[in-house]
Amino acid sequence: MTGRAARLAVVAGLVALVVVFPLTRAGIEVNVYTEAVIYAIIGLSLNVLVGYAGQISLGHQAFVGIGAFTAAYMTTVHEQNFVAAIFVTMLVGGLQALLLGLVSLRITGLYFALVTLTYGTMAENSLFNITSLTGGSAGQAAPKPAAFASDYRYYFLCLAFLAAVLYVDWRLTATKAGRALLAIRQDRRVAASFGADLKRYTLIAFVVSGVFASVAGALLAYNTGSVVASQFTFQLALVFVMMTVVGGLRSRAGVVVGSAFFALTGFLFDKLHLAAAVNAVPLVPDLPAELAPLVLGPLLLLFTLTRYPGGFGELLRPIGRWLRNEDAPVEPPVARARVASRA
Amino acid sequence: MGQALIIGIVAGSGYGLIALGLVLVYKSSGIFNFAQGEFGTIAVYGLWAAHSAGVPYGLAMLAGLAAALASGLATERFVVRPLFGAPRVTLLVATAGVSLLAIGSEEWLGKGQLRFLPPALGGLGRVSVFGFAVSDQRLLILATLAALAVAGTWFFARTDLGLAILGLSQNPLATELMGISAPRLSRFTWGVAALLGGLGGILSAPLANGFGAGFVTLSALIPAFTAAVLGGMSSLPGAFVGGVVVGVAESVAVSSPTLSRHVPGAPSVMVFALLVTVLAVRPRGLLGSRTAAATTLEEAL
Amino acid sequence: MVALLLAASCGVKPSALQDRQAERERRAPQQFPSGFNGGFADSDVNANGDRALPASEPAPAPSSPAADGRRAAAPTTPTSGPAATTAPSTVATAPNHDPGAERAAASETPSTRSAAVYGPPAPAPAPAPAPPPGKAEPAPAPAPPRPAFDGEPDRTGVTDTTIKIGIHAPVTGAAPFPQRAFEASNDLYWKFLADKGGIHGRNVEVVFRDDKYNPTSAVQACREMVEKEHVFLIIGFAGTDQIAACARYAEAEGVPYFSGGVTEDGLSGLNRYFAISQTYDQQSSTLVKLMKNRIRKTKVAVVVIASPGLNNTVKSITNEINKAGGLQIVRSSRIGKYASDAELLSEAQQLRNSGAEIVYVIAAPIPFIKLATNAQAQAYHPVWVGPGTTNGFQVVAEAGCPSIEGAKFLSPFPQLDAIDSLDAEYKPAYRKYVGNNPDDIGILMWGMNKTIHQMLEATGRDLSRQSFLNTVTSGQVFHSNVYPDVSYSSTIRFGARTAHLLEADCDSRAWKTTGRFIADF
Repeated sequence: MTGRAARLAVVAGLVALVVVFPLTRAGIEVNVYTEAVIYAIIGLSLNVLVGYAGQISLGHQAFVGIGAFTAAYMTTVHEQNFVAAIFVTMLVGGLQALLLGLVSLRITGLYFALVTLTYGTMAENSLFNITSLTGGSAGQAAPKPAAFASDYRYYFLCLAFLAAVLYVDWRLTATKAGRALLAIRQDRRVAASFGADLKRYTLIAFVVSGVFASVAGALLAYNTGSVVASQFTFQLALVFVMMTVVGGLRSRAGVVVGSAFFALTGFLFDKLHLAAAVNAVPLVPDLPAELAPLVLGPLLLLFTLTRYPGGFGELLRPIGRWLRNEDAPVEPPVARARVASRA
Repeated sequence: MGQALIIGIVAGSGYGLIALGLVLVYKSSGIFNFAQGEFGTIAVYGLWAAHSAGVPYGLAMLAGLAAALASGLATERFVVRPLFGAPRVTLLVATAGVSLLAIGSEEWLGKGQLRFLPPALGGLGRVSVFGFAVSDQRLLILATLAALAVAGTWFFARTDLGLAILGLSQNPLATELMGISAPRLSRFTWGVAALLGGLGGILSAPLANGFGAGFVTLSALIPAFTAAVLGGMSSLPGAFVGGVVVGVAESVAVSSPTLSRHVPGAPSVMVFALLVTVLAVRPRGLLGSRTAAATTLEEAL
Repeated sequence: MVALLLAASCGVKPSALQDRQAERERRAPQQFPSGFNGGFADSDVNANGDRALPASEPAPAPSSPAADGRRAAAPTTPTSGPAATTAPSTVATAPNHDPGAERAAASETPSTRSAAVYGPPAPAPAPAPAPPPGKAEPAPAPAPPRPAFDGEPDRTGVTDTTIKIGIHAPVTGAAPFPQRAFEASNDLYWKFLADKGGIHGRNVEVVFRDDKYNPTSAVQACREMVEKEHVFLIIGFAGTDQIAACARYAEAEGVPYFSGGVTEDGLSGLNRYFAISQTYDQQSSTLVKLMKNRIRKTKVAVVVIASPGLNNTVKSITNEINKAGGLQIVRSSRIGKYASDAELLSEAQQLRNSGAEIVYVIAAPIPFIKLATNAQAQAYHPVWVGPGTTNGFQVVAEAGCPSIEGAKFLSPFPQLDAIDSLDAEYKPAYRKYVGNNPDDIGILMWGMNKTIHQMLEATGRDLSRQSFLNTVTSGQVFHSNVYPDVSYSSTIRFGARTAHLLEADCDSRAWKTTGRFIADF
């Protein structure tokens, strides 16, 4: 098989997996796949913040939650249609991210991480419990738009959103703003010396991240049909960070795969009957499927951080290059030595 | 109001104990240790497991502390040491991963069930302030915190080991050249931090009337971080003071009828507001030194 | 006016029935046992050990029992003894709307509770008690007739040999339940029944899910049960928010949904929702009588979790207490569903400051235990009272003692001390199919499943959702002798009239069943 045919075959296979395969499954299973797609969007949103702008966010569940509740509120209480609800969601998401971004200009690095953490917890305990806006402990209903009421159609809707997010992300890094962001991530002082307006680009990153995340939140709310404050826990924030890091920062494909993987861990655990393997180990109690991501995930995270910092992205890079028919970059010998000494 | 104050002080002393461990790790390596809360929870589970197996309470406490120590040393060996020299943010995420792993494992091995622990000291009516009966267990926490804060300060200021640890954090290469073993110091620091976290956990758990997976992290980590920042991230007495302030702020928020009626989750809002205010207005905290703040903020990037 | 009265009287709910009984008792005390003597007067007990509801009623039968439907003279319950027609003996063979209703309604002492308390907000068709003519109260909207259960027979979940049902419960999140307990006992009753031949040749299979005490997980669990497992009906164990969410979902999908009684708000308008034990609102009148006539203290505090679905419940409790006279509400507060320790400590302190002697609490076990323990630590010992379902469990007594000494909770299920005399087959079945140490979670499951069994049995071999629902709403009494008797009609969905009373005995760290099938003190 020639190189070109092989490449086409792989791409076709991927398309079949993502587009055709879910059509053959039951609606309630497609729900799980939709959630994986939404998680991919969340991963990308966090990647903009962490991977591009270098800001760590341990409260990202708040961004997602605000989107979810805004959409539910617009749909249920104000009876707006889907488009209007998404539009308002993007506005609100971008705005609250902007506010947080302004805070980040004054408070940086680790301390900012702490602020995001506290912000996330405050959102879960306080903001999301304002009964008139969020339905309190009973939650808020979020019925799907009529045109996409079926699980399959909704899945494709979310895929479309993912494609849109990927496109915006790609354009972002291809533009001057994006390159500036990447430069900031590498070294702030160098970026400053190039005249990049750190503040502006950081704020842009926050807003983009906020918009992506809140859209994902809205999609999540519609997917389950309801949203309640207690879903947006601190553990969820850590899961988001995990999936972005394991996916490999700054690698879009890696983040998408990593996020989808985390969303599907519980599901795969069930399907592959891995629980049986765990049960076979004596003295250890059963591992329920929904706990699998919380146990296996952190192990993967620690492994990635200590041994394989590139994550999935690094794994996928050669494949990506092959698909695009590019040559591998030549590594200067100095870089290799440095890498060796760090290991 | 007086009741809110005294309730805040006793709750805050619990936060202060956790904050002590946070400050210790920060002083010695500049890391925000996210797993500090889980050192506490692991100790609580250890205590509970031993106690329900029939071991006398005192020994069971030691068992809990031993479990915490083991997890601290394991974290140091498998997470901190390999990432020596990595950006601080990476280490933050790594310790967050440790805490998530711990919570997941507790949920799994503990089967997600709420459990109950009797207090170490059962006395109830000894002290009553403003009509609030302060139990012996709470007095114990307060006393432990005060003692440890004093001991810790003396340790860093007066002992060779303490100075060595400080030196390691400020200039690792020079410290190594002086013949001080960095890995051993690191082990020592993390071990002590884990013990502090464990102590905080096993003293506070009985007062919570029920603990589950992630108990200390979910109930005390964020207030403890806020307390540490408030007190000055590198100040041990600051952890004590910060803990009390955060505790009182939360307690006032909870007991104020206007706040609690109109603002759900008022304590969380209070903690957030406190943190942002401190970082914006006085980043070095109440008792932190100016130089310490400058270097750490710079390093924090 | 006549039409309004007729329509409204047909829509009278059992909770209103309670209230009318209370009125009747006040007017004619010599007919009924006065006060509660810790058990039941023999004269009131029939062979089953069930305490009879006040049976002799004045001849112009009030509309309510008539509206409750035609009670079958002999319900077809193979497992228990004589038909438990302990319900009011006035078997109204006349159709629902009879002229007597109008007269009776006119002669009734009007309930001082306004319709607003019972009527949920506009979206749900709200059955409400009618004020008699001449009263200045605005007439409530008449309850629209409920759609009939007809159409192509829906046999989802039913095969020739099996019936699949779904059960969801807050295994995690609400109370310190051991996980194993649910897995072991959710289908115990059906295993027991299979040995006896099942239901008209079919055995029941249970699909069980943990709803994690939050409504989104509950809906997901229910979705799985309906769309993946294709269950015939769903049972919700406890938890207001979760039950409300699943009930709405089940209604939209046409799935019959039964649950332990919780709120009435948002549920009373659903067509396929049935409460198989008394709702909080229904229990409030029993509890008020308990507080007034038995506990005999006057200062009451009301503490309810801040679920929006319970807002109207709080109002109805408040009204019930104020109406009873002799009780004073010194504090009324809401606590978060996931209240932090600081919040509960503060609440305990404020309860103590308020001087409340009785605390009426609606909360899950975890906040309840913490609240009580914090109160204990402050040397404050009110009498804790409240409605069922989950606070009456053994785990609560074990964790809450000694702080909850003397607490009195209503419960749909009897505790381990009483189950042998109510249904002697439970413990042997548990030992046979599960293992040693029968527990009380099993009793609740047993009682719930047994009640459903009566309904399935009464439907017969031709089982479809329609035939089932028609049987359920026919007015028959379904008697399990474990759970309270329930009966429903075309308009009534909250079908229980009684509950058990459990008291915490901290010497043995257990709940004792001090009252069985009671409605009155």
